Amino acid sequence: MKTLAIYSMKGGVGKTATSVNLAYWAAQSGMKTLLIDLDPQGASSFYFRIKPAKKNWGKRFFKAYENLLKQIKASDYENLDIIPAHMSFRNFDVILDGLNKRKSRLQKILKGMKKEYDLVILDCPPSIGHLSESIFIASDRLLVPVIPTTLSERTFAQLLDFFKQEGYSKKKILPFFSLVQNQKSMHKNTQDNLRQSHPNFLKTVIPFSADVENMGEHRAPVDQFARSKPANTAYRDLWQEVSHHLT
Amino acid sequence: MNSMQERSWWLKNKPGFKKLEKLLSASFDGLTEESYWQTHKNLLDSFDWQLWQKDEALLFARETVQEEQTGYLQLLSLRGESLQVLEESQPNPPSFWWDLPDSELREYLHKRLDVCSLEAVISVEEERWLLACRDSEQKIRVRLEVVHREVFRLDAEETPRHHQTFITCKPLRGYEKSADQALACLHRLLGDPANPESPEYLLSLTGLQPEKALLPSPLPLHPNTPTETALREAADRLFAQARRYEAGLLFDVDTEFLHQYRVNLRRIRSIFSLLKAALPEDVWQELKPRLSELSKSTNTLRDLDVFLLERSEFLAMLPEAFRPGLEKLFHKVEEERRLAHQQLASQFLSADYEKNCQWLEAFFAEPPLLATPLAVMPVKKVAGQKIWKRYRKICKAGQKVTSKTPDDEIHQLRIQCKKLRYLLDFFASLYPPKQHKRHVKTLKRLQTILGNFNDYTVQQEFLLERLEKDTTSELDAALHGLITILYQQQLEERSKVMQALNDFSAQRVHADFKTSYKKQ
Repeated sequence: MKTLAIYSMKGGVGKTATSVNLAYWAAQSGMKTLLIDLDPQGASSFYFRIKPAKKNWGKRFFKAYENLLKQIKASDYENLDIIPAHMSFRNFDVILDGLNKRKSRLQKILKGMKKEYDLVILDCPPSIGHLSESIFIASDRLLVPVIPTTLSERTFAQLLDFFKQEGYSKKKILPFFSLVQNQKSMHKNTQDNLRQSHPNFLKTVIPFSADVENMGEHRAPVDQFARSKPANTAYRDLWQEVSHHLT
Repeated sequence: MNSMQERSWWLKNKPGFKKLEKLLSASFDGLTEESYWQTHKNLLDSFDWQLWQKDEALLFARETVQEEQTGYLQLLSLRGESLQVLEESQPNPPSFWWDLPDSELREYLHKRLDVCSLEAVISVEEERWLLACRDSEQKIRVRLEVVHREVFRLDAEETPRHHQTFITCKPLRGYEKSADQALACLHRLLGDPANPESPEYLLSLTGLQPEKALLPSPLPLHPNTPTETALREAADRLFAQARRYEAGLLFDVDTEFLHQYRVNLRRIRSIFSLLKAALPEDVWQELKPRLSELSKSTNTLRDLDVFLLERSEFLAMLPEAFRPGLEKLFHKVEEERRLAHQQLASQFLSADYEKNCQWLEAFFAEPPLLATPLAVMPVKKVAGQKIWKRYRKICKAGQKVTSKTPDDEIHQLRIQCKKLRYLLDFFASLYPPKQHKRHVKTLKRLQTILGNFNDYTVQQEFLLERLEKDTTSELDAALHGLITILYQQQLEERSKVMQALNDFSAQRVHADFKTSYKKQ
C-alpha cells in the first residue's frame, strides 16, 4: 500500500480538486483507493456527495483504528472509498495531541489499511503543524500544487526549508503547477524559473479551467461531466505521472 | 443477517418492478438506472470434474459495455463465494493452465489440473441493468442489479434453454442501514432470497450430475458377493469408464484421456489376472488376449506422450549449448506422435475395435459361471488371503536384495508391488478407509523409489534407441549427456531401494498387515 498526500501550506491552490480527481483516476486504474478528507474546509467529501458522520469519535487511541474503519463510506465509483471530512480530522487531532511519539501515529494507523487498500490519498489541511508533520512521515510522496506566482514560489521555498530543517527527505516532495494560465506572462516566467531551479517539478500542468470550478455544481470528478475537456485530460495525465513515482 | 452481503431474489414478471419502486420510494429519494451491459459466461472444468471434486468451479466471463469487451476468470466455491479472480482480457476461455498469464490463479490451476484441459460445460448469456437508490444529495446508498439470462449446458447440441430473471441487492460500505431498508423491501415483495449465481445451482438447473459421470472411489463391494460376480461387476463399470475417454482421445483433447483410458483398462486386466482362478481356464484364455490387445495398441502413443511431457525437465538437465540438439529430437518425436495418434484413431474407428469392445461388454454383463472354487468364494475372504500372501511374497523377495542384485530382479519386485497395490485398491471398500490409506501410503513410499528407478531405466533405453536411429553430432552430444545424468540418477535411486524394502517389511508394518488381512 502507498500513501499519497496532497499538501500545500497555502489555501486555494486547487488541492481538493486534485485529491478528488486523482483518487478517481487511481480507482479507475484498478487500485483499491481510500481518500481521507483531513481538511475540514476542504470539500472532497462534498464532491462525492457524502455527508459527514454525525457521531463523535472516541478519544482513546487504541480505538482509533476501529473508529476510522467505521467512518469509511463507499463512493459511487468502483474501487474508491472515502473517509469524510471534519470528524476524521478532529479525531486525528485528538489522537496526535495527546500522545508521545505522536508524529508517527498517523503512519501506524494507516498501516492497518494495508489489507484493504492499494493506495491511501490524504487531502490535507493548508497549514504547518503536528498534523502536517505526521502527514510528512506517513506519506510515501507529497504531491504539492504550486500556482506559478511569486507568492506561491515563496511558500514552496518555505516548505523546502522546513523539510531541510527537520531532516525530512526532500525526495518525497513532488511539486506540480496548478491553476496555470499560460496567457499570463508571470505564470510563464515563474514556471520557467522554478523548473530550472527545481527539476523535480512534474511535467503535467493543470490548467485554470471553468470545468474544475464546475465540480461544485456537478458534485463529481471532472471526468463525469467534462470528459473531453483539457482539464480532465490533465488530471488523468497527472495520475499517470504520479503513479510512476509511487512504484 | 449480515447486511453487507449481496442477496438475490427471483423476479417472476416485469410489473413486479413498479411495486418494488413504490416500496423503495419510502426509504430513498430516487431510483436511477446506472448502466446496462451484456455478459457471456462459461462454467469451466476438466473432463473428470477436478475442480468440482474439490468443491470449486471456474467461471470465465466476457463483458460488453458500450461495445468494449473485457474478460475475467474467477474461481468460485460451488456455493458461489469468490475465491480468486484474474482480470484478463483474453477473448476466449483458457484450455490449459499454461494459457494464463503469470498469476496466483495460474499456479493454482497448475496444481489442480496439471496436464488436463478445461472445457466449457455451461453457457450463461446475461443482460444486466444496474440501478441505484439515491439519497437527498443524490448520493448512491445501495445498488440493485436486475439480471435477465439464458442458461444451457454445452455437452450436447440443442440442450434446453432456461430463461430467468433475478434481482440482486448490492450494499455499499458505510451505508448498512440503507442496505437493510432495501433488503426489507425485497423480502416483503419477493419472499425468500435465492442463490441463482452459484455454480451448484447452475449445475442442478441444467441437470449436470458430475457425481454420476465419475466412478465412486473405492468401488463398492459387498463382503459376501461371490468373487467372480464382484469381478464382472467391477469390470463392467471400469470398462464403461475407460470408454468414456474414447471421444477425447480421438479428438486429442489432452494427454490425460489416453492415460485414464489405459489406467481403467489396466485395472480390469490386473484384477482378472490376480484372481484368474475365478474363471475356468479356457474362459480366461479367451478374455486375456482381448484385454491386452486393447492396451497394446496404445503403448506407442503413451510412450511418446511421456517423453514429450518431460520436455522441460530434460532441457533443464542440459547446459544451454546442448539444448538445440535436443529440441530437434523433440520436434521429431512430436511428428512421430502425430502419426501414432492417427494410427490409433483409425484403429478406434475400425469395426474390429468396436466388435472387441462389444464382446467385452457382453462378457462383463453376463451372469457369472461360478464354476471354480475361487469364483464362489466370498470376496472379503479372498481379499484377506490375496493381500496377505502378496505382502509376504514382497517381504521375502525383498530380504534377498543386496547391492549386487541384478536390475532385473528389482524390476520384478516393482511389479509385485504394483500387484499388491491393485489388490489393496480393488478391495478397499471392504476395509476401514483409514487402514486402507495407511497401507497404501506405506506401499507408495516403496513404489515411488522403485518407480523412479524404473523410469530412469526406461528413459535411458528410449534415448539409447534414438542414439542408434537418428544421429547428428549435435544430438549425439545432447543424448550422451542426458543418458549419463539419467544413469547417475538411477544409481542414486538404486541406493535407496534396500532401505525402502527394509522399512516395508519392518516388524511394525508386518504386524499391521497381519492383523488386517491374515485369517483369524
